[in-house]
Amino acid sequence: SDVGASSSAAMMAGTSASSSSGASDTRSSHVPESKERFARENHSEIERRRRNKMTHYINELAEMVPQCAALGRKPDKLTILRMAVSHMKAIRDVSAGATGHDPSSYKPSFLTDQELKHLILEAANGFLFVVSCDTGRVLYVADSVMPVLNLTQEDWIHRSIYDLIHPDDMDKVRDQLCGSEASLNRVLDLKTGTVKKEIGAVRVHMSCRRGFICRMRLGHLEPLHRLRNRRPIFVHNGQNYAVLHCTGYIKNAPPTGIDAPQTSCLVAIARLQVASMPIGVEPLGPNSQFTMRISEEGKVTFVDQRASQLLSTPVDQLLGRFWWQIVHPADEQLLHNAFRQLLQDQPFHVTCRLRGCQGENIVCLIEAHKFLNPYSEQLEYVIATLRVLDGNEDAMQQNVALRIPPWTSSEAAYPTGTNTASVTSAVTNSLMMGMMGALGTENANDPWLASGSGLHPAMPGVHPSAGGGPLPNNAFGASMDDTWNLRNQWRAADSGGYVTP
Amino acid sequence: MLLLVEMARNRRDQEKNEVAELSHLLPLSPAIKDQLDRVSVIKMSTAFFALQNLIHGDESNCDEVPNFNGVFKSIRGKKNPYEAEPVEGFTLNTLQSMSGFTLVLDVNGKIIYVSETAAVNLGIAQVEMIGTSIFDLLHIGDVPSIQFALAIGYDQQQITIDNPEIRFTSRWRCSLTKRNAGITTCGYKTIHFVGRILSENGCRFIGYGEPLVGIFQLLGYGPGNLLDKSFYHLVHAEDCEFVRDAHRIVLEKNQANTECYRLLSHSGGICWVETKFIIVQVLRAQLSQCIVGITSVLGAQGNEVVDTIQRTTVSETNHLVLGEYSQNFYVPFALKDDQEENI
Repeated sequence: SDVGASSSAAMMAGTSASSSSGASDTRSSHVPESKERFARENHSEIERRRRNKMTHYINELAEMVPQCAALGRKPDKLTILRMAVSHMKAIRDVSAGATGHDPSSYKPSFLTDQELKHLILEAANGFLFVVSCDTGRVLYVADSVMPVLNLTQEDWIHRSIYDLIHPDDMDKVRDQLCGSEASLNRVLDLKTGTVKKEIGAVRVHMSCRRGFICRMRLGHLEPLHRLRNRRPIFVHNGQNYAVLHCTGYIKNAPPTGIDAPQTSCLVAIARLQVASMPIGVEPLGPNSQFTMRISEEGKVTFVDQRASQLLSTPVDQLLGRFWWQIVHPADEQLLHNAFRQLLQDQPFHVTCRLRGCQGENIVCLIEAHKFLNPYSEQLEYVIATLRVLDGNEDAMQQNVALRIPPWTSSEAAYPTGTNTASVTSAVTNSLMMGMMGALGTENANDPWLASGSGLHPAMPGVHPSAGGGPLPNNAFGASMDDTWNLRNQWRAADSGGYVTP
Repeated sequence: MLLLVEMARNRRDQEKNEVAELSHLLPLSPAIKDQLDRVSVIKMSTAFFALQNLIHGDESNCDEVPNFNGVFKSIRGKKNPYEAEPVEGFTLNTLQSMSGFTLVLDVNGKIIYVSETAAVNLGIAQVEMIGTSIFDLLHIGDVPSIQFALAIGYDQQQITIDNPEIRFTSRWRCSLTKRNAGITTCGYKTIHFVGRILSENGCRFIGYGEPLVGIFQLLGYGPGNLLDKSFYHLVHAEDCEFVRDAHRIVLEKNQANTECYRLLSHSGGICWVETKFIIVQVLRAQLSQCIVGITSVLGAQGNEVVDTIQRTTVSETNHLVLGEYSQNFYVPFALKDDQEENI
């Protein structure tokens, strides 16, 4: 008890003096048993940490309260708390006053209806809707449908959902709404990796939950900024459709407030996942390019459709032939050698002439790299990007870099992997960080480090923020200023072989 | 001396009262409020204010970010930003419809808001998560990549937001029992996020994450002559990087989602698809594991033959057969809505 009294005295002293050294000096002047001294000191240490933690959180709270920030100097704990309470009261009173509820009454959510609606909209680009299961009639849709699809509530309410989705998806959606009880279902269970036959819809439609993807009709595209340059957007009969992910559940009767027969309906959120839509434009101009896939033995196995316009040759005629057979005979050896060298991990840098269907020469600047399987690191194939030059000799001399490929991923791919040769493939389009070197990350193998200035030659996406002014052009002369332009993103080759300026 | 002690105790009591008042005012159920300790009340209040600031705040607080439309513009413009939706139980219906949870992070990665549905997915209560750093809840292996993806820890001046739309895969601590947890690996659940990077009112990320559901309905079948070929040969040449990114991620994190990409349709044209990859333990086969790809067909385009693989003739398959099996592996295979690939 003596120990107890002296320890609490020490604590009190610590509290008012807020000096831990004072307290321990007091304690060390006694000569108690070492174990008890340890306990007291430990206890005091824990208390100190707890107080520091509380102080830290109180300070964070103060930063969020406008009245605290307005004061000249930092207020004491009690004042901060009092101001926080009045701030909280002000917010909750406004919210309660508007809805007519008692501010202390329980709501099912941390947020109000409007706040939640807008949060879903901003976080997931989603809106809530209710559809009758048997008729497919839309019973309710939130007004947040507008920023997502650019259609009004009036465009949706009382319409059939089947008029609002892509015709080819009608069966899929009907199946979700009216899933046949008697149908034979093949079910894949990911936990066991087995495929089973299941009679009836129950096991598949996990109680009453539903989840599906479908293409929904869009209004005019112009105001839908988030979708600009994104693909895919499907076109059918002059209407545009985008892919939406829908999740929800089947209710026995519509929610109260909806004037509709008491039959089962689907309550769901539809989300337009912009981040799942790669950015891409169709560049068709005098200096356009196309992509080819070459097998290990040198045969052309894939040619994208743009080739047929650029070369005036049907793509079909190129497939299955050896790559070097489709160029001018004088360039055949050049291409063949370069290909062989690429397979031996030499860089690939070739300009040669393709044969058009009328025998004309089409000068192409070719970049190629090996595409390796990330698991086995075996060669899958070679990917070549051919850029058609306008035949100008100067253009041939130009060390103009190619885009490989022209699409950009929004996957925030952290450069991982211990093998630097295979690490550099995914250039994130989500963030650009300036002055990477200045951040002090010390990893010599990290390909993201700027070797010199903020602009890393292999990663043109990285550039220093110009502090609000127009963004500088990157090393390859492309303007970085306009967000909506195609970003020339590099995917550095797995093993060398991309064209450098 | 006694008077000082008295004053100190008095002050502490006053502080306690204010904290109790804060707790009383928080928009939580009484049952939850009763269980909150003082630190949690402070943390929740701070997060509440931050969220209110984000949703209703003055736009002049927003840092200058070129080419970025401010969030929540439409709610700020409203005459009554608190009015209820005309349908009863809008909030409940919304929360029940969600397959995952919404998440708002501040510039340090602290969770300002997570929807109540997080508890359904992870078994961790909303009040435990709000005010906590996301990095305390993530698998340690994902901390660097998420820090990088969300630019946490970088100075405001050093960041230029080029494309604010991002997606990432992350592993979260999951406290649910095996029966309720769905697919988990060693106490972690993989959550796939989509969302936006922000630089507004101290917030960094706002997004939506959901796990993979365990049971998928299969539709359709595929030609047997695709077996034993690499999946990469089915992918449009310009999109194989996307598939490879997902392949890398599934090898590292057990699951991955692709963005939209193109598969070559047999006999011509392409199909826009999305694939969810997951590593699955395989029974009764030479392989112990394989990657299963659940591919959802979004829509077909065109009919031009662009790849030699489209020239191979497709044999008719009996539509009652579940799938074709490789001689080497046990691989159920279906083309239209489901595919598997071998490691």
